Amino acid sequence: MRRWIIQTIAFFAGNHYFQSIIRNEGFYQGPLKRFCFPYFTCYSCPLAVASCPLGSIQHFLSLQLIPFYVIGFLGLIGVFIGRMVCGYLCPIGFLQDILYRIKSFKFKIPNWLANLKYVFLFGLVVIGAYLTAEPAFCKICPVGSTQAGIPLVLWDPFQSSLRPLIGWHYYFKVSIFALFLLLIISSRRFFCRVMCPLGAIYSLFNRFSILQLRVNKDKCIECNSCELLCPMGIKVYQQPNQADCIRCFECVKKCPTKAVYVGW
Amino acid sequence: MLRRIIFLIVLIASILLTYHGIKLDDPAEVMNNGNLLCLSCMGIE
Repeated sequence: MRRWIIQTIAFFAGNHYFQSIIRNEGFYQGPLKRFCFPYFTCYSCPLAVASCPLGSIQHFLSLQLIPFYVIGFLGLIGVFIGRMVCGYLCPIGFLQDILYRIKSFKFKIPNWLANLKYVFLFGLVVIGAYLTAEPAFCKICPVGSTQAGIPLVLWDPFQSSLRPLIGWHYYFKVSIFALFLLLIISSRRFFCRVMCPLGAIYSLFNRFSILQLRVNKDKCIECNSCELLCPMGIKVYQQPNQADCIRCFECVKKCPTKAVYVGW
Repeated sequence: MLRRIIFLIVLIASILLTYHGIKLDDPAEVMNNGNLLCLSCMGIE
C-alpha cells in the first residue's frame, strides 16, 4: 500500500471527532483520552480522540511523577519498529511530505543540527517540565498552534471566551508556526530532523529494534541514490539503521540494484 | 547477538513499565490531563 494512504488512514484514525464541529463542542473529552497517540498530535485539536504522548510526559513530570505508562507504551512501539511511526503514521510528517512539494527555495540541513531535537527532548520536555511544573515544550510547540491554537481561536466554540485571552504568547506561537511552515516547505522533514522530541525518543530504538534495514554489500555500487532519495539525508549504504532513519523505505523501493532490503 | 539481547531487555522493561503505570492508574491521569484544554499548546495563558 502506498505510504500516503497509510498516513491518511493514520491521521483519521486518531482525528475523527467531527461531532466537536457539528455540535459546537470544542474538542473531545472522554475515555479514549486514557490512551496516547503513538505519534505527535495535539490533544486539544478539535478532532483528536486520544492524548499527546509528549503532553502526557510533561504533565507527569510537572507533578514530579514518573510517566511509567507513557514511557512503557512508547518503548513497546519503538522496540519493534523504531522510528517507522514518523515515516508512516505521524500526521506532522505527512504534512511535511506534502508541503515540501511546493516549489520554492530549498536548502539542506547540516547534520549537526539534527542533534538539536535531543536538546528539545531533555531540555524542555524532561528538565523544563520538571523544574517549571508546566509543559515547557508545549509553550513553543508549532503542532499545538497548527492543530489547536489557531483553529480554536478562529472558530471560538466556547462563547467567545478564548479570544479575549490572546496575548503576547499567542502571537509568539503564531510566529513560530509561520517559521515552522517556511522551514518545512524549504527543507525536507525539517521538524522531524531538528525539533521533534518524540522522534528523538523513537530514534533511540532504531539500532536494536526488530525492524532493521540491511544493505547487501555485494550488490551495492555506492551510487548515492539512497542518500538523495532519503527524506532525512542518510547515507543508507554506510549506516542503514542510523538514529534519524524514519523507515519510509524509499531507499528500499528505489535502490537501482535492490541492495537495500528490510530485515529482522 | 548483542542487538537481540538489548531488544529483549528493552522489551521486557517496556512491558514492566506499562504494567506498573497501569497499576498506578496512570491512564486515568493521562485522561484527566487530556480532557483539559491545553492552553500552553494554544499559546493562551
